[in-house]
Amino acid sequence: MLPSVTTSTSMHGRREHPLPAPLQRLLNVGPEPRHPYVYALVVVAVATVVAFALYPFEDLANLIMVYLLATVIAAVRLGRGPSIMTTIVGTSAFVYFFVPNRYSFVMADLTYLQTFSIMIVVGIIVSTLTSQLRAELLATEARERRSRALYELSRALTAGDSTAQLEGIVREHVQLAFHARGRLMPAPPRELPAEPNTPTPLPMSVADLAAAERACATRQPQRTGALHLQPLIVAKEVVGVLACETIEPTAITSRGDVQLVESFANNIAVALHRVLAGEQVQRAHQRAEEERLRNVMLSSVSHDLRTPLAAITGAVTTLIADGARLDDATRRDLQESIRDDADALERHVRNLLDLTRLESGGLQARRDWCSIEEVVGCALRRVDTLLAGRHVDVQLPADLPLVRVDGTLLEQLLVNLLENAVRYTPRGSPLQLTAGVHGESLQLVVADRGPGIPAAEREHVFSKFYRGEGHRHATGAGLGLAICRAIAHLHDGDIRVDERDGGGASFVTTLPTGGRQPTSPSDGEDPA
Amino acid sequence: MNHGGTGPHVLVVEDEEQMRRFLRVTLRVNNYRVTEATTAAEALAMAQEQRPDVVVLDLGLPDGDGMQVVSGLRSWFRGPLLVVSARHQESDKVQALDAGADDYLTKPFGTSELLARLRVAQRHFARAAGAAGNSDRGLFVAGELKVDRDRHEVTVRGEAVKLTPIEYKLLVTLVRNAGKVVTRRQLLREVWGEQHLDEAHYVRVYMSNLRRKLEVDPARPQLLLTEQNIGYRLQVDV
Repeated sequence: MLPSVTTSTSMHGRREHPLPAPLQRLLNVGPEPRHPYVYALVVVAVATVVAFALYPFEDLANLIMVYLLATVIAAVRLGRGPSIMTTIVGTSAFVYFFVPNRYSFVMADLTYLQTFSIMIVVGIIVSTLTSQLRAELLATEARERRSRALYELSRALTAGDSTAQLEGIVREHVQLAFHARGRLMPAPPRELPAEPNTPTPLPMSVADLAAAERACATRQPQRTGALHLQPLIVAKEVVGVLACETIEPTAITSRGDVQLVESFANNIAVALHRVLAGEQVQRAHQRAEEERLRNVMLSSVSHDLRTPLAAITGAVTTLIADGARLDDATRRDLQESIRDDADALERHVRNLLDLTRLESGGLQARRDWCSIEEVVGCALRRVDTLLAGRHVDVQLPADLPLVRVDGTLLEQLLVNLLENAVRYTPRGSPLQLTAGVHGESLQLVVADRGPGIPAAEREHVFSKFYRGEGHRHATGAGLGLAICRAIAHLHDGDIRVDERDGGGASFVTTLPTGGRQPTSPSDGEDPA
Repeated sequence: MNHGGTGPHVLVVEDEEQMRRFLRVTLRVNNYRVTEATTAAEALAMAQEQRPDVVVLDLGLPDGDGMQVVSGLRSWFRGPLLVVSARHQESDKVQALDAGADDYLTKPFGTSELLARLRVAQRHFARAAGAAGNSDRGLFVAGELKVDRDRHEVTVRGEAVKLTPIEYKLLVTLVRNAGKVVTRRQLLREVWGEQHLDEAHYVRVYMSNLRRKLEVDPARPQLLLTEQNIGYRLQVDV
């Protein structure tokens, strides 16, 4: 009967309380105290005191029950050995203190010898059964704890998208399950320079790293001092090593813990394999994209630099060889084409340099309070030749405030937008440039009456080396608008292209105005 | 190294052979006498020895700073000094201009631009020498703009324009340097005084006012040109 009570208490104790609370506490299965045999003697002493208290009122047969209870408690709380000791010492104490002749091991009535023998046998049986149950209970609890740790780990691992995230998860769960410092090392194991803003991982000595390499090579767990190194294996491939360093050197030695480390390793290995594969695919994509851009850039650079160069070389050699035989008009024509091609070359080199500097971060916006009217004036002056008499309708409100921008870069942005408009819209079609301040942001709009830009292409036109459908052979490498976007971003602004009412494209640049206007100098006197 | 021509004597300081060749040919055809130097040290020695009328100096010299030549020359040389530089070197240009260079050219530049800058600079020095420090007097005419500095009257397209004292001072400073670039710092010093050298936006506000009063279309100025990040230029026909 007693064992079944113990079982129900321990297994379901958290939910039901079939025993009174003090007894419940007494029978709770817990970790063994440090000196169980000392506790066993204490239990016998307590039982003896209780028996003395009951002696005047109770029969001897009932007093023996006190000692039997002591045996059961010792079996539950202290394990088998201490419990058997409790039985022997307890029964001896009973004989010595209570059986007539009291205070002597000589018994007056030999029937008590029979009682004594049965007591010993019952005590040993109860001890054995109870402590077996106790061991099973402890094992069940440990299993439960481990499977919970494993479940929580595998659930956390599914959310990890990068090696760095996995490392964090591993660190956290190794700490929870083993009270150990954990570290995930993708193969081949090596010490990485400490990165800022990440918790310092478990440090590794040269010997530790050698052990980690050995774990990878032999596919067997390795141990150096308190450090346990478990290889991570997926489909016969070693993807890394799980390192656990316990505070106490003996913590990961029990069979259950070693099995749990293995289960951890299996789960982590699968997750790491998945993440590494993903990262590899991403890197491959990145490389392919870089490769594509490099190819586009090379072909564009060689095309756009060589075409005007070839034309210049051709024209110049003709002028040198046959200059005297050409009529004035032809000669002039060749000379002008040389000038125009040199201009194109210069523009292209400038764009390449600008974009490189903007993208490499080597260019800082030197912001100052600028007058938009001045910036617009400079841009218009620079594209004057290119406009070739085309009308640009400029709409600037008279009360436009100063704006805190890099004047040179903003001028370049407008020049590129105007050049772009001239290049991709029919000769002679009108352009419009407007500016306005709405709240804290300045809006600059360059609009044309060209064919417009299809919705699907509107985002792409700002990518470098992009040329719209139908403009594959246009001159210029498709850098102008990429530069515009880089300049806008450098100013914490943005640029987009909209469809214009009545046809055409409308490039809208939005920039922050830079906050409060600087105070203006006073000039209150009468005009001279 | 002294070659050809009977006109003004130009010292060209330039380390790149192709640029020297272009400058040599162009200047000689336009009747300048040309002397060439390729390093800063050579330039300073050559200037002392040959006493040129004009110096054209590339700021991107290899043996140190073209700026060194500017300050070295300006300690004694009173003639026009033009600096040549690549794009993206605005701060170098401004520094050279503030240190006493008269004007600048940005590579690549054409012949007409080079000759126009040279003519403006020479004319400025001739006028300054003739007026003997009293160059703020007399009548100035540029296109439709007339500035009568004796009577403090400004007319544009035949109509009188009322300017505030600061606007007038700003305009007269530009008139005194007509055709030449004037840095914002120079304008701030002349008009507002030494204590306002960092208030670049003063100039922008007043230039904007001036344009509104003098230009037909302030967004497409014909007279008061902006040299982005450097300064301003009162356009004259040369």
